[in-house]
Amino acid sequence: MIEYCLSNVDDDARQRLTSVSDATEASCLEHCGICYLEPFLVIDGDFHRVESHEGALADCNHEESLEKRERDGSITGGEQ
Amino acid sequence: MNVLLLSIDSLRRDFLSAHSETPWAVDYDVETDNLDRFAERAAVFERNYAGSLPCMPARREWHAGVQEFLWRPWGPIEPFDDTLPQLARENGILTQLVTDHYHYFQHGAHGYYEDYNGFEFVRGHENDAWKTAPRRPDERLLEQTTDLGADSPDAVHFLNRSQYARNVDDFDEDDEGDFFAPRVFSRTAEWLEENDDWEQWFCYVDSFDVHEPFHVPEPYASMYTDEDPRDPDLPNWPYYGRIDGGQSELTERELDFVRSQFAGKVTMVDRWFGRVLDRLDELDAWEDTMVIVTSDHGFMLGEHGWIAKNEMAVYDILANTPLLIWHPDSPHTGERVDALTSAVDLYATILEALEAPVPENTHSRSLLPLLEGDTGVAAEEHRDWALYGYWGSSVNVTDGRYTYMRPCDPDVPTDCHSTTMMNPNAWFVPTEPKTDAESGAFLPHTESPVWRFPGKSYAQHEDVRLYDTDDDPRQETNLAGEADFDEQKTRMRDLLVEALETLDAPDNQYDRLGLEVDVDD
Repeated sequence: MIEYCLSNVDDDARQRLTSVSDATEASCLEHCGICYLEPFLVIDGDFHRVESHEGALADCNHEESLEKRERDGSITGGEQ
Repeated sequence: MNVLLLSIDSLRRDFLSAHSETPWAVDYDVETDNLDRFAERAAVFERNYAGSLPCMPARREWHAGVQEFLWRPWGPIEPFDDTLPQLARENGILTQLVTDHYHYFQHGAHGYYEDYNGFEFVRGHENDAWKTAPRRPDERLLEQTTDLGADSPDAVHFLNRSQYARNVDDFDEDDEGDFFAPRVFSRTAEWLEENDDWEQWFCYVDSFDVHEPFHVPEPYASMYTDEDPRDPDLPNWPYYGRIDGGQSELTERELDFVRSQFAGKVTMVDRWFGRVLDRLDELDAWEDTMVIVTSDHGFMLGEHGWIAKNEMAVYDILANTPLLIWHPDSPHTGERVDALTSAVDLYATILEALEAPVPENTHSRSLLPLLEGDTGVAAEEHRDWALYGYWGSSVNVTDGRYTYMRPCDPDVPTDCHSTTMMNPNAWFVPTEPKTDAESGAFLPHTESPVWRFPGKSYAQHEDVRLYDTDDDPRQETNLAGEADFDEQKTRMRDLLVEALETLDAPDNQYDRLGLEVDVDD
């Protein structure tokens, strides 16, 4: 399950996320301070900073994508 | 006449014995002896509805008499607003605010406290930007309140949840006197005594409790659970959203615990609210004081699969708010009032009670005829509809029995109108210039020019909803798809249009709600 915040996505990313079957839009995910500064997603309940929403969604199989991106360092859990 | 207005944030109506023997969310009784004591004295409004949601929009309804959610979201008092304390002061009435509601002092919501002669601000609730030390607050409380993966105490971003643990680091969890509602209501009781020699006053008490975090001192933390309330595995600050997945997911054990802490907080609020009632007794103040108890909204505790507010359809758990009023000249004390009423109505009610002028062109309708006269006749004349909702999402209407929820098209932006370039979708962070804004006298209730710029719409639900709250008060059966209710659905749709037309809502609302093209709904 991918959760994204309305305020954290531009129109293109929102459109892309809307088409992902297990993505859910929230009006606010209560990460306003981070949301204000950089892109993030909540994936299976866990908060992740991402380089871009598009990049994080490059593979719609987000579990595989997440593992891959965590390995290559383009996505990080929690604070940097 | 003096007026004492008390708001108890997030207080669910069904937690009051005056409305429900046992709260819907739990299978045990929750002690509310003092709210019950007040309900026996007061007129108890059965069909009172929130208007603009959530917290600050509700407060602008009370303070300025405007159903703002059709025009703008959470934001400041506008220059064209005539606020309650401003009008009271202009008529020689002392005004006071007692609160721990830190949103008044945060990005996105200026202009509310400034009009009072005095204000008391009890610091530290929720994300109040107060303490910066200790850098590493209590680990156990951090575990219960904070997703440390997102909100490290070492990070300095806005709305970092570890702020709360830092703010309350020196609180004694066995001394309720350290906590928020006890301090707000104690200070209120003191203020009443200290200011007894003023000829006339308006005092507004805004308790952030019962609002989360549900961090509760003893004895309340253990009152409704056998769990160890200090178990770091048990959350007391759930994220808003679905309970069956995502960051807001709660196990059955966790949900039971959250419910028990909510219930404990209700009882804590009640006991300290009782001190205000005691002080009114001691001062023999009832004969010249109108006392109003209400809330801005409720809080979902797992019903319909949701926790908290904002993200879901605006069920009556959120919108059908408590309203209890003691008026010394009312023949209806201790009675139930069935008339449909709205949060915005408090504005005119309070001004009339203070004998201050009620401005024209507000959305407020005084409740004094209901309190002073024949409630049957007054109810017929008071209002046929109440509108409620969040700017940017569904618009909802009730006739007091049926609730009709009209979803928006999330792809159609919602126009935001304000004299400020507020962030329409991100209220708590610094504002950004709106380069696509146009200006003009766009509002029907003022000649003042405002900015108009688009904000994002979002779907709280995708389908039209219709509920019969007499037969189905928990709103478990959506009648909108049932052929037998086509007539009711059409009638409620027409009532929504009538309400929007009466308030002269922006044309953009009809577009985003599909009300001009969708003849079937």
